[in-house]
This record gives sequence, C-alpha cells and structure tokens, in this order.
Amino acid sequence: MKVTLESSDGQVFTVDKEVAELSVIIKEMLVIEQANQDHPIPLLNVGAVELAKVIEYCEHHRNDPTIDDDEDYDSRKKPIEMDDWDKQFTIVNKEMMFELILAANSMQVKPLLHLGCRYAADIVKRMSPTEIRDLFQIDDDFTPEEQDKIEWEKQWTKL
Amino acid sequence: MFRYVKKGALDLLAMILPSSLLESIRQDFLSTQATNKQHNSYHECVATPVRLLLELLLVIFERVNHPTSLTEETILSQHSDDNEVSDSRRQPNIPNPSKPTLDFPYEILMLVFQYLPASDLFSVIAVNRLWRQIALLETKQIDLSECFPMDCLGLEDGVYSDFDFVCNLFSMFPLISILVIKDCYMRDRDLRVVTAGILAGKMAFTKATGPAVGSEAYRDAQRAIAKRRQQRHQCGASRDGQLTEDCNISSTRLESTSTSETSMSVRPVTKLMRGTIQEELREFSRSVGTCVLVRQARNTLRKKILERLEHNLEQKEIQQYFWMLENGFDPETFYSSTAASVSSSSGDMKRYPLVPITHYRFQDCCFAKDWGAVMDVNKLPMIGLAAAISGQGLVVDLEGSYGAPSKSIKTMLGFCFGPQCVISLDLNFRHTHMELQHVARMLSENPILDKIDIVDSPAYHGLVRLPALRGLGEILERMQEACQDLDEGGLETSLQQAKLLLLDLEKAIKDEESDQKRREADPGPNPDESSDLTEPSRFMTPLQPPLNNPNRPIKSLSQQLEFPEATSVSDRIRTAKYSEDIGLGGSLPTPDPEVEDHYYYGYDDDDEEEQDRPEGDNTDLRTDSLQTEGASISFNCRSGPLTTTTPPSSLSSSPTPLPPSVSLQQSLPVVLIPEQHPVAIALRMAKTILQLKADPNVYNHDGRSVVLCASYMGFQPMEALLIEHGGYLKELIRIRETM
Repeated sequence: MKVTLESSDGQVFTVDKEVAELSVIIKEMLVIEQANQDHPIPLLNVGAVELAKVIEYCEHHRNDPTIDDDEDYDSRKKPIEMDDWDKQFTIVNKEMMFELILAANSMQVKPLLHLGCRYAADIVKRMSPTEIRDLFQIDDDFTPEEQDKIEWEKQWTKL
Repeated sequence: MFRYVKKGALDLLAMILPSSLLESIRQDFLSTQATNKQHNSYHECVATPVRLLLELLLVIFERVNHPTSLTEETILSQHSDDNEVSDSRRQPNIPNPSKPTLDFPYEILMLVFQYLPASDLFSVIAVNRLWRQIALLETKQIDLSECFPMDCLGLEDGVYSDFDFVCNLFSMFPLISILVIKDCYMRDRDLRVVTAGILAGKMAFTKATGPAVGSEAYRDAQRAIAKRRQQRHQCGASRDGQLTEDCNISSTRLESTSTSETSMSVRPVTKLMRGTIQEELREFSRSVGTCVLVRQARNTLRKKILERLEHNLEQKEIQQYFWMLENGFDPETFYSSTAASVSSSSGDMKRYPLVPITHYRFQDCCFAKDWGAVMDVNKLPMIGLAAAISGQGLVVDLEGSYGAPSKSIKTMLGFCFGPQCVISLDLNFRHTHMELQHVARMLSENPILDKIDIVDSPAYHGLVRLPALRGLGEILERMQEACQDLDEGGLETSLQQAKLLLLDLEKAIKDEESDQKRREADPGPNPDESSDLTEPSRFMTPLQPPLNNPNRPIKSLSQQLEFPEATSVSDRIRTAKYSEDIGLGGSLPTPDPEVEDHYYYGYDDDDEEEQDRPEGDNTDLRTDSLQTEGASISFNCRSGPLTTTTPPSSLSSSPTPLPPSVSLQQSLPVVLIPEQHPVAIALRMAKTILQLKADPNVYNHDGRSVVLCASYMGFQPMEALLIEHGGYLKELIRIRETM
C-alpha cells in the first residue's frame, strides 16, 4: 500500500505505507484519513529536500522494531544503535542535519530525531559557550548576577 | 473561500480549545501559509474541507504534543526574577545574516543535552537562559567520565573534594539519578565509581522518590509490615527462638520472633538497630528495595564484590537486596536478577520501586593518596540496610577516613546531621583518622544526636569514651613520627603507651557491660516494656532516651568521666547522657576474621595465587610485647577518672603465632643487609606492625584497632623506603593488603 506525502514546497512523494508509518504523525493521520487516502498528506513544516532524506532514512529502517515509548530512547540506558549506514547518513553539512532534526521532530520520526540529536551533541561537544552561541545564533541574555553564578560554577567544576 | 473556511474552522475549534492555544495555532497556521505563499496556489488547487481539517489537525497535533513556545515561556517565567530579561528572552534573536538561525525547540535541545557529557553540560548551562534552564531541569543522567575531579580530592583547604563536586552537581541538576563514570578515567580508584554511583542514587532518592521518614509512603510500608506480621502470628507462622538465617532468596516468610522483639526493648540502641535490621528490615526492604550501582567497574572489583555477597554467610540474609548493575540501572536487568525474585516472591508480583542508598566513605572522597583502596564490601550491605530502615539515612562510614582534612569531616558531618542518618564509626578493621578526637567532639556537641542511629560499631563505644581517648591522638602522632623517622624504640614506646590507654578503655567497656547486664536483670519498672513491641513504628523511631530510665545514673556516669576544669556541670551530664544514648553497653559481634583476611587480599588477579599460598612456617613472628590478655588492671569505673595501675611489663604474655596471611617469610625475601640499614630497620618495623595487626588478642577488639590503624598509617614511609631502596614492591603490596 502506497502513501503520498507532500512537502511544504509542494513536492509529492509516494512511499510504502509501512515506511511512512515510521512517522508517528503520519501514522496518526493515516488513521484519521482512511477514507481519503487518495489525497497527499501535507507536511507543512518539512521541505522537499529534508523530506527526501527522511524518507531515505525510513526506507532503510523500515524493518526496525517499533519503539513508541520515549523512555526507551533514553540515550544512556539504551544507546541507539548506529550502524555504518547511519554513520554515512549523517555525513552532511550541519545546516542540513539541523533541518533534518527539525523535520524528524515535526514528523515524529523518533530514531532519526535521536540520531540527529546525537549528531548535534557531537558538534556542540568541546565548544565554549561563546562558540555555541555563535553556531546557533543565540543571544547571551544572562544578567550580571547570573554571570557571577556561572563563574562560580566554573570554579568548582574545574574544567 | 479558503480563508473563510479556515477561519470558520478555527472558530469551531475555539469552542473546544483554550484561547491561548487557539491563538498560537492560528498564528502558526497563518504564518506558515504566509511563508509558503508561493505554494498557495498549489494548496488551493487541491484544498478540500477534509484536507483543510487535516492541516489544522496536523498543526494542532504538533502544538499540543510539542508546546515549545509555551514551555519556554513557562520555564522562563518560573525561574526568572528579572522580567526584562525574561521578556527579552522571548524576543526572537536577531539573526546573523551570514548564518542561518538554528532555533531548536525545547524538546530537541533536551534530547541533544542527553548526549552531552558533564563537561559539555557545564558549557551548555552558560550559553543562555533557555539552554541553562533546559539543561538544569531536564538532565537526569550525567556522564562524569571526562571531568570527574580525581586529582583534587580534599588535599587541602579550598580544594574541592569529589564530595563537594557531587553535592554541587546535585544542587545544580536536581533530577540526576545516575552518574556515569568510566573506569578508563578512574585509574586505580574503583571505589569512587561505586561511591559516586551510590551517592547519585541516594541523592535522587532523597529528593525525588524515596519514602522519607514519616512520609505517607513510609507509614504505608510500616503498616504493611505490621499487617504481615499480624497475619503470620494468626497463621502460627512465627516461632520461638532465634531468627533463621534464611538465605533462600525465594523465601517469602520471615521468621521473626516475639522473644527477640521483647529482648530488644531493653537493648541499647546499637543492638536494637542490629535487631531491627535482621528482623524487620528484610520485610521493609521489600517495599523499598536497595540498589548499588557499580558501573564500569573492573572485573576484579566486581568479582570481589559478588564473591563477598555470595559467600559471606553473615551477609546472605541481606544480599538479596543488593545487586550489581554493570551498565547502569535497567529495569530489565533488575527484574532478571536476584533482586527480582525478591520483589516478586511475595506472590503478588508487585514491583516495588528501587531505593538506592548511599554509603559514603571518607576513604573514597578524601584519601587522595589511598593505599589500594580496599572496599569495605563487608559493611556495605549492612549499612545500606540501616540506611533503608532509617528511610532516608545518609550513611557515613568514617572507616578509612584517616588523613581526611578536618574541613571535609566537618562538611560531611554537617551534611549528614540534617536528616536522620546512620553513621558508621566502625574503626574495627584497620583504619582510623587523625581527626578522631575532633569527630568525637563534634558528635558529642551535636544537638540532635539522639536522632542518629549508630550501626554495629563496637569501636564506637571506645570512641565515645572521650576521657579514655584523651591523649590517644598524641600517641598516634608519635607512632607515625616514629615510623617516618624509622625510630624503632619510639614506635615501641608509643605502642605500649597506647596499649595502656586502651586497656583502660577495654576495662571500662567491660565494666559498663556488666553494669548494663545488672540493669537488664533488674526487673524494675521500665517504661519501654509497656509499649507494644509489635508496632512497627517501635522499630522505626528513636528509642526512649535512656536518660529517662531511672536505672541509669547519668550523674554518676558524668562523675566518672574526666573533663577539663572549665567544663560545666550541664555539659558533663550531657556528655554522660550522650554516652548512654548511644548504648554504652552494646557490643555487637564482629565479622569473621577469616572472611576479613580473605577479603583483604585485594583486587589483583593474582588473588588466587595469594589465597593458595601454602601455610608456611611463621612461628618466627611473635607478638611477645603485644599481648593484652591476662593483664592485671586495677580499675574502678565508679571511683573516678579512667586510670590504670598496670605496669607496661605486665602487658606481655605468651607469644601467639601469626596467621599465615601475614607471614613475612612468605612475602618478603630474606636479604642480608646491615642491621642499621634503613631498609633493615623498616623491615623490622614492618614486622612489628604486622605482628600487632595479626595479634588475635588485639585484632577486632574495641578501641585497640586504633593502634593498629596508627601502625598502618606509619607504614607508608617505610613502604616508600623499601620500594625505593629495597625493591620490595610486590611483597610490600602483599603486606599492605593483608593489613
């Protein structure tokens, strides 16, 4: 059985239902839209490029056991298995991976979401707060008092 | 048409959704449409009412399941005292035109942080307020592998110990339940893995899940115990006699006896505590569980721990509640382990929550230059259970705290005196610390001392006899100096002086015990006996202070003790009362020395070789000058301060052969060297210390282990000397392990 997905920029993708159902959102929508399966499912927050990558990921992991419980994704209790394909999959530029994270979050493709978060964590590792701010374009909004507290923390953490 | 339908649909939703959520949906939906206006024609072409509703449902679904903006605002408003800053945080960041803005929502940041070790989490919390809040509020597990401060362990004032570190950590991340430490960063400090893990669990338990004393959950557990006991009585399941050491894990029936309960009513606190552990806690623990986290520990350490738990008969009754989790706590691992059979053995298959306990040892946190750091697994289960029965007790085991800075001890004691806690002051094995008197003074000055449970610490009875310990600290220092100076005569003199002092102590203890027995035999009125002993709260609450017992002459006791002249009468009485409160007459059985010897072989893989050593001729090692049995001492506990008339020469008695485990002939090669060569002197002093340690009349006796500990302390300089000049590294390590 095929399912049609439509990206935010109007591109339509046809995939197997079991592949699409790796997305919790799509799975839910398929239940709702049983009588209207001829219409593409709109994914308003996912562009075509990202959707293609998500579908590529889901195609590869279509036979993986389904894990619905967030607790099971606790990264340190049960580290996510990352095979060679996944490693190859993550060899993309940072912007693309970040977009993929957002897409996976929007579509609720949990394995991909965690894979992306792991990737993001690897990027953040060993970065200083300033570098992180620069990477994510974040403002430093701490008050002077909070800055003092942060300085104190730096002392005892002795990093 | 499209917009009309869309607006109408939103209006319909307004009937069932909160206005704030609806407005958020509306804005999202409209903005999405606006940003994608280049595709509007496409959407309009295919739009149908069903499709429109699907789009709306999609937006609603995402909004309801991922309330990013709401969550951010809530958190910021909750934790911000500065409205301006909070408001400014809500404003979108000004993007750098040269780089795209990556505005991850709350839940994604939360996930990303999960994968960060602690060192990077400390960077994350300094990024901005939102990141900080997410990291602090959502982090439940933290990886310390790359930053655990192994090398700054309370060496001097102002240097943070790992205790400080962990405390700060938990202050910052209140939801942490597991610390991750990999042994590749641990070097030879396996114990800290255990300690940090347990501490982590305990802190989480205390703050999050544990049934605090007096809490409803705690009372529920007690009621359940009472109910089960009542049922057992009704069914005739109870029987007279001593408790059966039932090691069958699948057994669900605990034999507690009314006779033992009755006898506990007149026991001092220590015995009651022990009795409580044996008879009540096994059931209580089934409702709370106990957990020890051993993560990434070395195989040898793990092996030792498991062996200890499996083969120590004394601990079999409680090993059910301990298990080792090599990869952090995992419910599946737990339920497939021994502990699962415990929790499910009651028949109702109810899964009880785990309550990790803390067993915090000074040796782990303050002894930076520790000597092999032999883990006191023997005490761990017992103390852990004591912690469990206290509900939230922080267990402080001062054993091995030798060398700990007074500041660290103060910190620890100050920390543990807040809640009801269990303190182990067991000096019985081999360690003590230079702050012994200081600790004793702090204990005696603690205003809530009667809330502290003392667990199985025979040496504690010596510790609390402050007058008897007066001067011991100086002797210990002299002993250590003698060892450092390789002064054989000085060491011998100090040992003799310490023995005299401790003989007084032993005599005082015996006298007190006999006095206690007399009081127990006295059938006079005792308010404790009138209470209902089957009530579980009886075992969970502090005893009636012995001061209220008219049979306890506090004033008389206070007059026996020696105080500085400036000490007020009230302080004297208070000290005496304190001594009574902790149970002067109690003396619990000590662990099997054979088991200890086996245990102290250390962690090396050549343990088997060590244990399989043939019992060589060790009759050359005598303890001529170290015997205390048969000493004639004139001592009257009621007549005045603790004094002795025993001459040093009367301390000697017939020599006693040493156990094979400390045979120097076996462990040290015979080398011909000049008699006054430092190595030769060190060897002789090492022998002296080993003889002292191996003396069965000294070993495991109250208070006198202090002398052994001092000797052990003094062994360090000799060890360094012998290693440097004598090439006895391996042998000395063996010696050390046998100590």
